[in-house]
Amino acid sequence: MRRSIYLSIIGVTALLGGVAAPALAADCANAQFSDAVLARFPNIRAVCTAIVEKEGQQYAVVKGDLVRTGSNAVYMKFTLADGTKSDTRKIETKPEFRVKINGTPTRVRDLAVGQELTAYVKVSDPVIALEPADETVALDLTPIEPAAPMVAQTEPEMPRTASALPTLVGLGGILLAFAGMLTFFRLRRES
Amino acid sequence: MGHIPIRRFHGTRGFARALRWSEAFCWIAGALLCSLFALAQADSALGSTRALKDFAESLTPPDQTLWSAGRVRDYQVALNAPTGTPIAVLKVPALKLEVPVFETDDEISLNRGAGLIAGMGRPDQGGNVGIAGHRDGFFRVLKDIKVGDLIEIRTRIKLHRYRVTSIDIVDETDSRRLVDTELPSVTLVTCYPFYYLGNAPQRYIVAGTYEWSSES
Repeated sequence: MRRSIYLSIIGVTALLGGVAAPALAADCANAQFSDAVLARFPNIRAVCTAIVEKEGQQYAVVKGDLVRTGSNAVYMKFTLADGTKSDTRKIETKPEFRVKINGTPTRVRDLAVGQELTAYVKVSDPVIALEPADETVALDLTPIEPAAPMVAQTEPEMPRTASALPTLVGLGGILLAFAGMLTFFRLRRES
Repeated sequence: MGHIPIRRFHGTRGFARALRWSEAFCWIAGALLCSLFALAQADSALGSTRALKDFAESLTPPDQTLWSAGRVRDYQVALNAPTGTPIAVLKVPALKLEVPVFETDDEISLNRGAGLIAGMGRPDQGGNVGIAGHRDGFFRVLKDIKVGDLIEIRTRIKLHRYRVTSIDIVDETDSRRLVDTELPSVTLVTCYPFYYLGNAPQRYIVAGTYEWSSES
């Protein structure tokens, strides 16, 4: 009887351990990121908030601020564990792609800088995808591109902020003053 | 009877007639120019007020649940089209400045508010957002802006906050301050000196960096 109790305890413990083991493995600190991922995204562990499993693959969940939107691409800075921001990363998207903002599916071109977005980095491959609005939609994975400056090289022209109105009213005032002077002298001579 | 003293004063009848014509011309031209200025001022005040009202109304879109997908798309396109409705509202709370921001920096837009500088960033899309305004209009209060002051830009999507980091006076052809930036930033541009008749020779540049803690 006592033996069976011991066996039951051992069995339950083993069962719980079996369930807990993958949960322990799914942790940012001990996730087995591939060398390619670490090479493309060296601070992935610092920005990783959780490891989740999708379609049989492990993904690191990363959150960050949108710093720029482009045509079918977003540029993000991810938040590190110490609160600082990572380098800017570009994530390409398809035209029909939607992310969820305040519960509403939103097109990439309707996003605004400063909004927080969630992305997934595949643990085994250097690919990244934004979290789609519809969770049943497969992740749209694109290669993790090296952080690169994304600044336009054109130098805009200085705007013409000089209004002609002060000149016009000044000229009008001078003309009215001159007209008044002429009228004054004419009336004086006429009287 | 009344012509005689003038003829005596100026010597010839033709000269007196010319003076009469000049007098009439000066009255009419002066009145026209001043009326034009008054009209522009009225358009500025009324246009700005109406633009701010239109923008506020556009923040609460109509119920589109019964609309077709095409109609919703057309509505969005119309909202973003370069019409009289501003794309954003610029505020500088410290200066009590609240001005509509239009798609372009043409004369009509700048008379009714401020305008985006062509070739620079847009508030929601990031980069260096350039906004121009007249120094003798809405942007005259910028003469009192200080480093550290808050600049707010409310678009239909989000409220963006920037903190003033520098105030500079540059030559009117020096556009180095308008170059793109990796992180979102804002550059307000107006003419300098603030009180000047004619085309002012310099530009007053207020630069601000993005405040990441902002929330819609």
